[in-house]
Amino acid sequence: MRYTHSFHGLDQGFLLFLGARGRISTDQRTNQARNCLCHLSQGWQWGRPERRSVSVSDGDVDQDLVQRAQSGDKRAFDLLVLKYQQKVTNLIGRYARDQSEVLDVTQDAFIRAYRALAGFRGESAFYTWLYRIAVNTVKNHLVAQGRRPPADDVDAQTAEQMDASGRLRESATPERQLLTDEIARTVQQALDALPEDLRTAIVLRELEGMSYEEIGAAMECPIGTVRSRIFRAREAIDRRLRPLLEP
Amino acid sequence: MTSNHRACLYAALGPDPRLRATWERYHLIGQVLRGEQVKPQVRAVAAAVRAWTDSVLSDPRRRAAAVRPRAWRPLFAGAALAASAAFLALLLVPSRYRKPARVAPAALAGEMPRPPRGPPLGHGPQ
Repeated sequence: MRYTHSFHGLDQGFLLFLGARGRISTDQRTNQARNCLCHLSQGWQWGRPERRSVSVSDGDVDQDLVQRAQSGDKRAFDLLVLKYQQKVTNLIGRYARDQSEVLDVTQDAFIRAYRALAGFRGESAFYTWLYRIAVNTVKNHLVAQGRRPPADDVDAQTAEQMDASGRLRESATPERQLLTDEIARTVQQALDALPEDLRTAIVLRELEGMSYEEIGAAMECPIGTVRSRIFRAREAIDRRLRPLLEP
Repeated sequence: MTSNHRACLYAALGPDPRLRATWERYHLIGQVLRGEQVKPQVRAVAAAVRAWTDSVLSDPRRRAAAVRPRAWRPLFAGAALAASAAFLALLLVPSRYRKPARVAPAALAGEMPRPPRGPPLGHGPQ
């Protein structure tokens, strides 16, 4: 089998990744898997699920990972935690006071979710289910502390929309706040530095929530080109972001 | 991308820390682009949960306890215990402490064994 296809197509890249396992270097394999990840990590956005029509939706990915976790694959659950830890922390930060408390309750919420995972039947989206567990966990925590939880809940979608302006009710250390700001600034600078076609593609994808097909129609290019542009845009941003996050 | 393709990708993703880090950063990029708050210290949550699952799942007994829905287990156990106790009570208590059944005197009399009928006195064969 010869591997002469473009690495940027979703299926092509993935098949290359699979077919070449054991035949190419680890770095090359990793790059191919990163290409696939690029597509898997682009699920629909909260608030506008109707605009996504890609074949692999965020819900599909979550469902896959949940099923794998239910069958005993602990790394699958790890991927779900990696995906949702920021969202759940932001949510719990609306109820709890300080950073360490928020992180502890977030951890507890994920552990409770893991324990209850066998009972998750997929009748709702995974994040909706996880959101309810997180809210119950933080409310129980507040009651155990002798504090009164807020009477009114925000629903999952509203909480998601509030993330943009919400801040944890805590005083982050200057270093942490600096790093938080630097991450946002780095991503913005990387976005600004992208060639216009790559920037447009990823903005339409991430901010407008458009499907590959819709982006292709808007940019008047084939879907394969859209995939390639989004992949390259993510790679360019990631190259700048990685040094900040890796020790 | 078929489900088989995805399954193979997940299988490759799980044990590779570099790919998992990439997975996390790609999601993080999307969150930053959407203006969501991203805090680097939150990344400790995944590490802590991973350490917990590693420690718990390495022990089969703790694993069985961890993945079972604990919230319902005491409730079901208590309900089953109560039902068993009630059933035993129904079986045992009446047999030990049952009061003698009241029977109507007439019926009682009707059921009493009659004495064997002998020949009428004074009317025997002569």
